[in-house]
Amino acid sequence: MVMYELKKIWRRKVFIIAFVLLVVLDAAKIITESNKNSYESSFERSRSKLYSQVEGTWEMETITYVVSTYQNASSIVYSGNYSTEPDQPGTYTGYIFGDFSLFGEVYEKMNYMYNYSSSMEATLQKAEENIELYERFGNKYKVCENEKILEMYSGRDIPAFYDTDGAFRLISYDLSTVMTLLIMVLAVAPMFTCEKETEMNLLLRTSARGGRNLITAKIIAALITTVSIAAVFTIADIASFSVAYKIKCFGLPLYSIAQFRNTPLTCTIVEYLFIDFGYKIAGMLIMALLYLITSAVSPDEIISFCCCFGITLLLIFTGSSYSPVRLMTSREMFVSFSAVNIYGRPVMAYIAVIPVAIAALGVLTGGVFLAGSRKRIGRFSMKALLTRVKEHLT
Amino acid sequence: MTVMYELRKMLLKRKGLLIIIAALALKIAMLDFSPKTVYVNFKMEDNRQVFNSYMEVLSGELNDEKARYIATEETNFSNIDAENDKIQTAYINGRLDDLAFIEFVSEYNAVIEKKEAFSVVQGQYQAALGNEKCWFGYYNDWAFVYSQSSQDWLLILLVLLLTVPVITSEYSGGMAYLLDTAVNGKRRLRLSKYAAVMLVTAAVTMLFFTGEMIYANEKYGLSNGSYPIQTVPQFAQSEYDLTLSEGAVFILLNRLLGMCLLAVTVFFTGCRTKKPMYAMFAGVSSVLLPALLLSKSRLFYELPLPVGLLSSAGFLRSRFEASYMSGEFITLTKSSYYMTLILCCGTFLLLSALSIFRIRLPGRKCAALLCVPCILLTGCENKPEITAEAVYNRHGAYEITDNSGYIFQNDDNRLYMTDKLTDERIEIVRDPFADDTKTVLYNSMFADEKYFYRCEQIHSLSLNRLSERTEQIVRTDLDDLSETVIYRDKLLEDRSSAYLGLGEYIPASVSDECSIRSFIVINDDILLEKDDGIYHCKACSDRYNKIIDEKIIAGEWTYFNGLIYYIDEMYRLHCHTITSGNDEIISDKRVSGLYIAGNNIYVRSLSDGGALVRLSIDGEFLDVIAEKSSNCFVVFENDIYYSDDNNNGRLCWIDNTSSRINIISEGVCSFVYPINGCSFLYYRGYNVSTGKFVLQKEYLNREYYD
Repeated sequence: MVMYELKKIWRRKVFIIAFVLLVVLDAAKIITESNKNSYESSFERSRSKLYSQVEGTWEMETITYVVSTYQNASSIVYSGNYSTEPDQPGTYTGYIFGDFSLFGEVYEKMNYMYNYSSSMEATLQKAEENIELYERFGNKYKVCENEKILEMYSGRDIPAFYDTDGAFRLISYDLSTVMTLLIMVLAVAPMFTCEKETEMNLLLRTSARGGRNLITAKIIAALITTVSIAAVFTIADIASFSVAYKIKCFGLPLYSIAQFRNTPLTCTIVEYLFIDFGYKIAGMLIMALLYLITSAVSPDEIISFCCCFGITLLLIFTGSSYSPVRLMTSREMFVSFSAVNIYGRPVMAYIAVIPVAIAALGVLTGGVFLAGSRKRIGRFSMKALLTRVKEHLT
Repeated sequence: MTVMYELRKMLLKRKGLLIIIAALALKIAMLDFSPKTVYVNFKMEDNRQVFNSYMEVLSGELNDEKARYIATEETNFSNIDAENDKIQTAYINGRLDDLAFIEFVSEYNAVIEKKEAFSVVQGQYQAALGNEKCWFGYYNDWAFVYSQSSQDWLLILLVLLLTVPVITSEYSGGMAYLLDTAVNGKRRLRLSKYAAVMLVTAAVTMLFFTGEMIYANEKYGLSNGSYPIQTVPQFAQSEYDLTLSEGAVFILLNRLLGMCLLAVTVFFTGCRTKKPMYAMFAGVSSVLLPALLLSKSRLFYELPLPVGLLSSAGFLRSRFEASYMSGEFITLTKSSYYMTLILCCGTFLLLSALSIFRIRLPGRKCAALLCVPCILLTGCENKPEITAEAVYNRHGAYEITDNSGYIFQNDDNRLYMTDKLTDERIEIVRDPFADDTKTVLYNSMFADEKYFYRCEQIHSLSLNRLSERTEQIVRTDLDDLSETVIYRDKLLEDRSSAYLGLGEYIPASVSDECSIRSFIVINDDILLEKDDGIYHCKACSDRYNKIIDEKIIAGEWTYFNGLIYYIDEMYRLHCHTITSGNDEIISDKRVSGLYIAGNNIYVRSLSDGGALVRLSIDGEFLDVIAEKSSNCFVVFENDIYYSDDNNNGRLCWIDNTSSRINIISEGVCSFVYPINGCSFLYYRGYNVSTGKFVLQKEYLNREYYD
């Protein structure tokens, strides 16, 4: 039955066309954006050349080269005594100010990555002091919290230098999520209503597997479809970003991205992408179940589509703390150390959210069964509600 | 007749009329509850009466007479500011009597109230100097109308809901195949359906627009319709010679065409695919996808899609910033508008013809047609992400408070507690992570025997660089240093739907900001001093109410036995009973500086030439303690420490029982705080050798002074 439900979704030509079109548009957007963000082509060529030259494991020679070139360029620029003519001999980009900008950028990044472990020392020292102090005051929660900080943040080191700009852009890219939601509406919203439109639901009620089994099959099919759509978009994102930004830093720790310097995770960027995908999937599954409930209570496809789309817009635009959309932008949870006090124990916010998401999935699955069940159809369907309102008015 | 039949089916049989009424009600509610738009000038709105009084003279085109009037008014403002400084000094030094001072203060306040409204006038004057089409006048009404000209999702969904079933329902019921066999069931029926769809779309669009106009008229009162469109600052660079009312008609006509294009897209897709879901999807995608992919590009407006026409204010603006603070501009010339109009009309006619005459395009040609926007998209000029940079200045705050066990100190925005017995100094806020994305500024603090309270403003930036400013009071338990947030208020937030990169970044209104100046906590009750009065709230509750609706001099208030004593802007001493809400002026003296100790109120009496005087708790005058004092004074046990104006502002000590003055500091003193249980005080005094004001600790040894 699950296969049959899946076939119903995936054999629709228009769905496939829309899906492919959106994936192509998504990739096109990433690639065009990368082109528009680049500087003048000669500078960009020099940039690529320099990065390919200095990227890799730490070598004193490379570091010295970047630092000394940057210092030379900056001393000339700050003295104000430099030529603005192009193609100057002895320069990397063709002009001294270009060298200053380019090496300045590399120097900043290198400085952050090279000195990361030593800059973390201050944090660890503060945490140690905190443990001592809070122990004296008898604040067990704070002691545990700081012990956790010590445990999570000690021994950190960035083993190599690679440009992380592309990786950060990939992590903070959201457009594909909106597209996934849009295509999900197209796939999931008609799952119950299409049977109502053809009055097949009346026939299904009389069959042995037309009740709970059918609903289970629909839920599983919706969830598989959701995961598949999200996976395709995520793969398209990773591939497009890798090509457009020439990302090589997937093996570096997540904290090698400057914006994630205080992340509690010690995993690599590629591992983080999997974690992020997991949270995204959780959010999308919640959305899919919401769409299924809407579909089950809507009398026809049009109302179902409008309601699903309306719910999506509402959740995106309001973005409250309890919105599943937050799970799709989970990176904010991983940016800094954020613990929740659960019975005196510090539990990381990103872990605390998991049981909540599971509970939400459970409740919504129950909701789909309730909304799609035979009794429900008779008593609480939109049609019945409208009829009751009409009766009440007359 | 078949058109009428189709209309009846849409509006009555499918309850379209009910849906329209419900959507219209929702629209009006949304207009009322949605955040104010950036087009609206808040300064103008907040001071509308004063602004209108200016407009009685200035309204219309700039001329020499108006320029002279503005110059005179500017001179008046600078004169009154200078006069205020003189009068304040004269009054504080006893050279001016109470009556004259009150008269001046009321006159000054009246002028100052006009100043904010005048700043808007000055803005319009500057614009008029640069562009003669920018006229003086109230424009928030039209600005509001124009700001509504973006994708109205409610209207879009409503049109989809009404129009999609017109064609697809025939197919889902199988009726279409039967109708095909009837004489009038082919072209004529399609034509009727098409006409009904267009009529309903146009009617609904008109209805929504009328609703917006009525709302704008009720809320702002539509006036100055004959003024040039450049009067609204966002349209100052418009290429069009239109009046404000003509601009509204322009927007309406474009919106009509945009909605009709959307309806015909849906109608066409419905005819082709025969499925309501696909028709809906096509309709939504034709608006949503360009909004997602091209929101910061010219193509958003120029592609032959409904979205550009639905946001036609962009064409009227001619040149504008792509998104808030992006620094990237979009230029839309008249010719580009005409080109868009031709393309959209062409698309509209083509889709109409294809739908009505059932012209079947081969699949490949359709695919080729779909490819065109894709190719256009890959060449689009998308702009980089916007950066909502916010400037947030740290300031080296100095504040000291204490309880029986600790001295609490805000030292250059770092909070410390010092044990009075062991002298051990501990930093209170102990976040191990120094983070560039979060700035914390400590406004004020308060301590009782069990807890230390701090009021902090947190300014944070998310990864999307959306800024948010929150104000909160944190309670620290002094037994174990555990922290609880007992009050939280969001001061400023970038209004944005940026969770998934959808929508626009809009800066929050600065007028929303009203931060805490100081506070007092009594068990679970929090008293907050803000710019416009004193508020009360319960700890850990998000509700608060104003209990004193009067501007008070910053920090000049205190709580004593269920009463709040405060000094208003006119330097009058009030006593407010919290339980009854009774508020009375308890002294006829003009005062500044307030301290309650024992059962006495100590104030600096401006009516007595700046003398430090003692009043009873009912405000009755008791005696003069020192002839000349500044606002900086404290009463500690039986001693009074104050900055003596007769001794060049130096910190002096006077025994409550005698009148002998003892000088403590070398230079001017601006802050003094005695520490209970310890024989020392802190004061911020001028260090003669370094030439700087520094916090100094002074041990109280009366014999030494003697």
